[in-house]
Amino acid sequence: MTPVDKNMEPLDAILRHAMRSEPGPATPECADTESLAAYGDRSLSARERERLETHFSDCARCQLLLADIARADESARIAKSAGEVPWYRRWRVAIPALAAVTAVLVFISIRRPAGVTPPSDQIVAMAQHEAPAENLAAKQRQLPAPAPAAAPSAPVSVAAAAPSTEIAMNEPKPEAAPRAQAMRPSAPRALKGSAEGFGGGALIAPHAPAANVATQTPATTTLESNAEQASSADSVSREAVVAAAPQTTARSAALGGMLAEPAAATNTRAFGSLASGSGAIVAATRGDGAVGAVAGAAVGTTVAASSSYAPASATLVTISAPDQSVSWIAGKNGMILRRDADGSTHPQHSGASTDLIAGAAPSATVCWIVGRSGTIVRTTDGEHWTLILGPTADNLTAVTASDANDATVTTSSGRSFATSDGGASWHPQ
Amino acid sequence: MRASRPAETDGGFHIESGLPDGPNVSEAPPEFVTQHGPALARMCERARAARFKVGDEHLHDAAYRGARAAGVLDGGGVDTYLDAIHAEDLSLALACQAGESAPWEHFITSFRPALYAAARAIAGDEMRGRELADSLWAEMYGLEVRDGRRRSILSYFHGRSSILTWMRAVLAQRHVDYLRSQSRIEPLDDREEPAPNTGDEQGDAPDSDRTRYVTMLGKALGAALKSLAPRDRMRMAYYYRHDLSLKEIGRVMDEHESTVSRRLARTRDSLKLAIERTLREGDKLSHDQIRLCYDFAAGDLQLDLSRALPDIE
Repeated sequence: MTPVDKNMEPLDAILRHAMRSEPGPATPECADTESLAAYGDRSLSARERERLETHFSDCARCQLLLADIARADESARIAKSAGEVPWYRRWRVAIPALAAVTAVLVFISIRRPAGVTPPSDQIVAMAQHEAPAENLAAKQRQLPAPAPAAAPSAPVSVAAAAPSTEIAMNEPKPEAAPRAQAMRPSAPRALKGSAEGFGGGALIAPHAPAANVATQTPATTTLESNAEQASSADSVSREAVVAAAPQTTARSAALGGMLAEPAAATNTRAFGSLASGSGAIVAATRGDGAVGAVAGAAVGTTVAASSSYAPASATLVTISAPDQSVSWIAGKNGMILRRDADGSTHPQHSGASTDLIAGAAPSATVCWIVGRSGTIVRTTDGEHWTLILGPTADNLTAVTASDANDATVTTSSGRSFATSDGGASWHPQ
Repeated sequence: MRASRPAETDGGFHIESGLPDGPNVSEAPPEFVTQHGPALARMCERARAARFKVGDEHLHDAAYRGARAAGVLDGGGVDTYLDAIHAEDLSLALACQAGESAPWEHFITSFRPALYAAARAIAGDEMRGRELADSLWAEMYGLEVRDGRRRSILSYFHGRSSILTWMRAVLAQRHVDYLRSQSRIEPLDDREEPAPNTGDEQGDAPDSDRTRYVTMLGKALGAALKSLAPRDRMRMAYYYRHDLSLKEIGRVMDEHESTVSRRLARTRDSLKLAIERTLREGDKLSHDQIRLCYDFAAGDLQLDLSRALPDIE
């Protein structure tokens, strides 16, 4: 806005009209092309510039030429500046983008279920609880002394009247203890032993003569962290876990004790499983006449298994068969890929929707995989997976297995449960 | 700077002024090279002419021709002139004149879009701008063959400015010549005839008074404009005659646009004071009569005030 624009007086209109004139022909005094261009580029000396300006001030032709040069110059500058993005405009996009990313990260961190231990904590927990067999033994020594069995010398026999297994989905999560109480409505059960809060299943008489055979088997563990991209600190943590965890004691306990139970009694075990992340409650209810079968004699079993540990994060875990002919890659949201010896990989349907954390493959056709919220899946033909009713809703971070029937799973808090019937029943270790 | 000769034809190309011999006729005399050797060496170093296979002797010749055209050979300042040369552009122009394909490709890549953009800006019309640029492009390549050689107008470029500004200047000259040629062939019927001054729109003032007031104002305006400093007059002309923006005026005048605005306002105010002083003291007009002068002149812009300003053009 010029003062002239602000003051549109008659003088301005008169000036516009009076000074309007067409350019005349070139005169000997007119500047040549190079001089005009040099004037436009300010390449002339001050003296020469002043001399030319004296002519330009009265020459409509030279003025018009200079005006055209200035228009072209200004037009080029505008076009050039239009193609450039100033730094503050780049930040104008970057700052909201950063804010959005931050908001997403905050949302994700808030959205994590309250009961789920953060992955890093799980790693520490695994390192503390899983790894050294001595630690595990020490923990077991610290367990409270169980109640004395009513008939310590008598062999225990729990007949499995109805070994069928059902998995009911989308039921409200039941509380284990009340169910445990409810499953004995009127039966005059002589319960001699401690079930460690286990929902009414196998009753253990720990004072029975037992021959514990603890076999430590090196685990075949492969971690595929998605993953060279993982931070070095994270990698170190995983290595620590893997180093601490490879040996797990699989015990076969000689159980003594007595369980007297009327045949008509119906036990109902219920395990609640909180589906990871989604908040959906998955209830697994199993009804059978008797839970589990425990051979009363002291049994020593050597368990050879391969196990795999991984933090409960987005890490992929690879479980290889002992002969390396096949391996399975497990990860988030129940993802399982089978990789054959020729390197070909194809997805498999696990039936689980939670993150899978660890696995064990005792043979090329049998593989156990555990994950969040007590998820256990197993294949016995290498192709098809079955969702196994687990003993706990806690995150499972390790598993060892010797075959399709015998496996031991470990929670993130260090508790272990074993099965010798393919997951039909579990016994705390 | 030497005074250039007028163009051979009004509508023709004006650039040939001052270079009757054309390119490659005048060779740099040995004493020129000897006397200004260091400045020539600096120029050749800036030119980076080896990439276009242009020898130093060709650059020396071109520099000599440019210095002669600029009129600096007789006086001092040859070294200053040589140091100010846009040597890189000069070497490119020389290489293009030689007809080498690589320099032409470089020239086209570097300047063709800018040339067409400049032509559009100058002509104010897409089609006319394209015609203008095509024509110049052809002449730069050299359509005319004389003595077995193509004659390119690039031979008139001596590096006193950047080659881009030089091309803009050439385009501007072509455009002005085009406008002049168009105005010459414009039918008389299409020209605006000054409307008769009846005085109806401006009240009851008789025609004689009206004409007298307008003439007095025109003379006072002419005198006031003539008394302005050249740069002030240039600024006023760019603003009122050529409709340049303040930024464009600043570009021409090497001033910031706020400076242009401030100086324009000051010049205008002083112009008004000078006009009114002339009318009041010279023509003995009263304040009301002076206002009538403005009203008549502004209300009847068909009156060719420029005829009252014989000294402006």
